[in-house]
Amino acid sequence: MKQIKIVTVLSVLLSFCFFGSSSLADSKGIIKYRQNVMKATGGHMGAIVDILKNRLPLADHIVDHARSIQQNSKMTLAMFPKGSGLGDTKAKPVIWENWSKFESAVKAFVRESAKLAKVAESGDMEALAKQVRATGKTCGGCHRNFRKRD
Amino acid sequence: MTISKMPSKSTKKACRNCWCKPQTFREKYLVNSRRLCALVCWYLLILCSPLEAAEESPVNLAPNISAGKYLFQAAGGCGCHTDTKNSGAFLAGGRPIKTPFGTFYGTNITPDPETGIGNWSDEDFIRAMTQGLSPEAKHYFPVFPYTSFQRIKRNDLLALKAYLFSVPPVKQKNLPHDLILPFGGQYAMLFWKNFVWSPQPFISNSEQTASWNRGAYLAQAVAHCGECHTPRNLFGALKTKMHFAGSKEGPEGELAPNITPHKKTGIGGWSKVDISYFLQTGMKPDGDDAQGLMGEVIEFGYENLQEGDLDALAEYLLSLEPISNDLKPDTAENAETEEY
Repeated sequence: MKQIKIVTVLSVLLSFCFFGSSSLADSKGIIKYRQNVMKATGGHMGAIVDILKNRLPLADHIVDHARSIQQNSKMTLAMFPKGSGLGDTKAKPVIWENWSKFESAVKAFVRESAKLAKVAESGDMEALAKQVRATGKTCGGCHRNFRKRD
Repeated sequence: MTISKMPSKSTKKACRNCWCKPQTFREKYLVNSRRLCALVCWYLLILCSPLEAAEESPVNLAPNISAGKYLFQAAGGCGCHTDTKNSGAFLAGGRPIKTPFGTFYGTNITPDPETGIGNWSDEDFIRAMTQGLSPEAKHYFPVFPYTSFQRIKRNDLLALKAYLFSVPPVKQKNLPHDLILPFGGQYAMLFWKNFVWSPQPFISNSEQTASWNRGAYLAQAVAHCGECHTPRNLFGALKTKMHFAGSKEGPEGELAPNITPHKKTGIGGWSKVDISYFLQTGMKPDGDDAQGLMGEVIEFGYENLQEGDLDALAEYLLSLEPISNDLKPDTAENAETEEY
């Protein structure tokens, strides 16, 4: 009897492990992908800010960083297909429950980063500093409402 | 009220120290009724005595509204008093603030005489900000950070009041707080104020630069960083040894990061300009943005500060003793707990 009990308990525990890990797995690889693109976007943003706040003599790099941000912004919405909220992700389920709000938040980011690329091409550093902040604010449009905190 | 004369500083301190220890309290005083009587008298004396922070003599300067507005922004925009999520009126209260002690509701601090603070005198305002006492002598819960605000200079407080009295009055009744029982009563607050909280005034450091002192004043008093970024003990008092080392249980269940310059667990990898730029824009050195409440206090407050003040804050933070306090669970553990 005792053995049967132990076996039952063990098998239940094992099945939990199995079940748990299988649903946690990022089966389509989409979560890791979007994390990489997000990191790249943040990296370009951080790079522009580094040039600005430290007055690095690399102002001619800014245009390329800004263009990269703009390109990534256009990828953002497609990186959140339905069903990609399960697993090791900070994306909240509310994204898909309130898709139109999420979509408009992403669109605001696309719009502002397009402006950022334009301002960067113009070379007007003061306008650029302002537009960096405006673009940064649109990050919060998604991150505050649709991303779990650390 | 002859009793309201302040006892000399040294006596007060000595008494507090010995009463804090529960064993001594029970053994020495509770069994002896005469001593108990003396204890009650002292207790009343302490209750009625003003705290030291507001001791500067009143000055008859017309406080400046714009200076007050600047302080208001340096305090992070007092967002607890505006229910932004539900489009509540500016500073009219009603915003729920979840804490481990229950849910508090921000109060109406518009100058409406009935439901706001419109009837408050200067002294009422200063008593509230430095002693946590309402004009009706009710004790405020320390979720209202008078524990930090008591360090604000009197003139700054008066300017702040002038600004608050310049915003549109809104008639909106305060909601009762919804607290976990032992923390709910006025007696609990009496106990807390006298036996748990020991107010520490702001002390400037003459060995440091003027900007360091400005940063210290802003951080410790006005911007009240420690209210979220310093962990609390079981009684809700800040652990002074963990000054600015971060807390897992910040307001609204948010994690407040370690902001001491510890290389691995704090902001030791941030430069001075990283910090001041972050406070101005909400953008971290890695290009990510500030989340949650930090995002709010930047947007409604800190981003309006002058660069000199932002640099001063950065200088002060980077001068702190680095404390190792890792708040993030490691990734493996995180993956297990995230969805279950």
